[in-house]
Amino acid sequence: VALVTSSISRAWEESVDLGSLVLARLGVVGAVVVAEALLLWLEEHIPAWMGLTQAPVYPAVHFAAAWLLVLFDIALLATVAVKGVHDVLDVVLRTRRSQA
Amino acid sequence: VTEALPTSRTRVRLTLKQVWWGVVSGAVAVVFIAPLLGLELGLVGVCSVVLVTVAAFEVDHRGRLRVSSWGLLQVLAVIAGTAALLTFGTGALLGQPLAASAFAAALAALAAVVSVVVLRRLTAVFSPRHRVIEVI
Repeated sequence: VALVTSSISRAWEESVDLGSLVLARLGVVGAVVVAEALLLWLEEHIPAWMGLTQAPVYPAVHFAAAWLLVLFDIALLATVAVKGVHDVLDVVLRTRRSQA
Repeated sequence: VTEALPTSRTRVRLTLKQVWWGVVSGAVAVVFIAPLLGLELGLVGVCSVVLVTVAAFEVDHRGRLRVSSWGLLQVLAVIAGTAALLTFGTGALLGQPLAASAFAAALAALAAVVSVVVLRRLTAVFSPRHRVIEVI
C-alpha cells in the first residue's frame, strides 16, 4: 500500500512515461480480475460469504468500476492526442522561427 | 507502481493529475448527458468535454497561454462553447436527431462549466503556482 501510495503521489505532479501509465492501468485490470476470482472462491467455500455477489451493491460497484476504467482510457487518449498536437505545433513554430 | 514498472521510453510524458482531471470532467459529463439522452450521445459528450478540458490544461501547463491569468468568464465561455460545438457536430455526424444533439451540446457546455468552476478548486488545476511540465 505504501509503495502504491508513494508512486501515485509522485506520478501526480511529476511527468511519467506513457508506457508506465499504460502498464499500471493493465495492472489495475489484473488486480480487479484477481479480486473478483478470489471473491467468487470465498463465496463458494466459506459459508459466511455466501450470497455476497447477490447483494444489491455488487452490480453497482461493477458498473462504477467499469465506467471509471472507460473514463480513464478516454482521458488518457485525449491527453496523448492533445500532447501530440502540441508537439507538432512546437516543431512547426520552431522551424518557422529558425527559417526567419 | 508507475515508477517500479519497466518503461517503454516513449516521448510522451504526462502526469496522473492531468489524466485524473480528464476522468473527473468526463464523469461530470456522463452524469449530465447519459441518463437523459442515452449512451451514444453520452459518450460523444464525454469525449468532447474531456478533449476540451484536457486541452485547456495542456495549454496552461506549457505556458503557451496561462489560463489562470484569464478572467474566469472568458475561460468558461471558450471551454463551454468549444465543448458544445464539438458535441453538436459529432452528434449530427453520427446521425443523431438535431434536437437531441443540440440538447446534448447544451448539457456538455454545462458539464464543462461545472468541471471548471467546481473541480478546478478541488484539483488545483489552473493554479498560478502550478509547475510547468518539462517538454521533451
